[in-house]
Amino acid sequence: MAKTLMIVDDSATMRKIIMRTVRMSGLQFDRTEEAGNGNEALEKLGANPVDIMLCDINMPEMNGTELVKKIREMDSCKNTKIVMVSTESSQELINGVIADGANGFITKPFTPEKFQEKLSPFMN
Amino acid sequence: MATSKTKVESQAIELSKESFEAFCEDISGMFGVSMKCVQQESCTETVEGLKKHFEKLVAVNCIKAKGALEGTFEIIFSREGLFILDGIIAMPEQMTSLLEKCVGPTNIQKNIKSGSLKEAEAARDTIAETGNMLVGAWDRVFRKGLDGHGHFVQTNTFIGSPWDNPEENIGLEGDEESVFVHYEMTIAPYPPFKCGVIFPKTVFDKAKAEAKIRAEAEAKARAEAEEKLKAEAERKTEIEAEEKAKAKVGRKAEIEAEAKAKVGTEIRAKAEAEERARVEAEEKAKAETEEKAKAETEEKVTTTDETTEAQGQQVSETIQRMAQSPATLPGQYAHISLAISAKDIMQKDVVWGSGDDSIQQAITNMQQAGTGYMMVGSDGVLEGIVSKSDITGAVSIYLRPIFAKWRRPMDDATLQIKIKWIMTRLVRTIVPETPLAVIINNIIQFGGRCLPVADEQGKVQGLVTIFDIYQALLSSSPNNYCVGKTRQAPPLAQLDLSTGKEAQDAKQR
Repeated sequence: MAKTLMIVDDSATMRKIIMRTVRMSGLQFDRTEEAGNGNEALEKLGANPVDIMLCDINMPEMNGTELVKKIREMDSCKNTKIVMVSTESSQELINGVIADGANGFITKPFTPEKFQEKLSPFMN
Repeated sequence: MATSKTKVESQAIELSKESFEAFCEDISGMFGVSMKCVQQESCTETVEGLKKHFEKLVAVNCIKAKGALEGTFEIIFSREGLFILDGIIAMPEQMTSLLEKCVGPTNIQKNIKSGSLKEAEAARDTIAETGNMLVGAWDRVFRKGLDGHGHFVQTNTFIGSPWDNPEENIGLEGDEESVFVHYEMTIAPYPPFKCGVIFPKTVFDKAKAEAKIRAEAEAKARAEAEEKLKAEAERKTEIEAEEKAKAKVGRKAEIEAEAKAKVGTEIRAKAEAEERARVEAEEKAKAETEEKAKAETEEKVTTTDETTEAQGQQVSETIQRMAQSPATLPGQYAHISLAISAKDIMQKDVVWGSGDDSIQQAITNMQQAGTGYMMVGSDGVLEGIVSKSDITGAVSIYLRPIFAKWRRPMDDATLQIKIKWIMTRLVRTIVPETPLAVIINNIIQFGGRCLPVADEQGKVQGLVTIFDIYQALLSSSPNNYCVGKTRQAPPLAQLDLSTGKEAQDAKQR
């Protein structure tokens, strides 16, 4: 079944790095999109919901946690799996975003293997 | 204070090495490259000195530290490092092919050689992201390795030449001294490049102040501890002096106790000697009695039958005279009534026991009956007799309350001696009809303080003691009188037996 992916990060370089690492992991997506902030992500999701979203937490204007809450209010995105990507890895933070509606968490520095491990369950 | 500061600086230098190594591992894992870092030197430099280490074009990540390190420090990459990191991190995916990895992308090599500020500016976002990755790695290492570490945050990414206006560009004042740690980093297959960390000395100020406070607190604590030790030592000396004084007093008390014990020992020895003398006297008397009895036996006047026979035939002349006529009684015997015989004055309730009974059992029996004698035998047939004196002579004198202090198990053991070993076996008996005068004569002649009264079959009917005789004499004398009470010998109950109950009972009796 065809899958779609969105990467949300305020750093274009990081978006590139993530995209590259996802490809290196061997995971195949039919469509990949990028968003530089929360509002851009919501706009794109409203138009075209995706299956998996990789989202940074520390972003200006709207942080990752707020974005997750808003996405979970969207009926069109109720099946979207959201995986947070962050340097911060405190259990408190992880528990918080999972409670807000995220489906997984990847800590930086990440590797292709880590993406493979965390995203594979959502590919079927 | 200088020592503490040096310690924090040393820790920071050591941890910066670990942090760069962690960063290399992160990049290697994320981008599939081989990256390593080797520390070159560490020194204290001003901006002027730092200029000599790096060319005009550099990349600087400014990182704000909170916690043990307080302030902003800088991580600096040479021009080569800037372009190589940019190439590795931001390179197009198609350039990660094995071939490209082996020979190296053309644009990286080109930029290393001749990349200008323009090309470097294009790498700003990548270098900023590199700074974020650096902060991630450094934060992990410092959190583990430095007490009081808060966190690191990248505050600025500078690309260009910072040396013209270092304060504005990277926050370093011209004459400010910094600890500079120089590294050489290599990302295969590209040539090694310079990088380093610049810790302005102010970064350590907080640690320095805290170390000062800590050192002062430690010094205070040390002084207090020393004072405490001193006080304890003084107290110890005082206690020792007190103990010494006490010991002196104690020794005096000991000497007094020893003197008392000596007196006690002397008293005990004296009592023992007296007791021994008494026992010896008794034994001597006993032996004499036995000897006499033996002689009597030979003369056929000592057995029961013989006694009966003697009544009619061989009593002494005086007794014969007494029996024949009161008028012939000499002196003190003159008033003795010849009508009184043994059966009139004898105690009928006598105590019986077995020869296998212990002294303790005998004492109990005698105390319960309130008598000083116990018949030994069975069915009225007499085998022997045991008196209070026999018992007193057999048991240890340490059983007496006065010697309780020195009482030992061996003394208690004497209470278990069997009666048959101490009783008088050759018992002189009289018949119930034996006149009082004959009884008195018998006692005077052969000693002893009592005479069992037996019938013709030899069965004991009662016992006549010297007290019974006294009683009879007093009752029969026209001039008898008694002033006050006669002092009695101490009852057997005064022997301190194990339960003490007997003593109590006897006392009550």
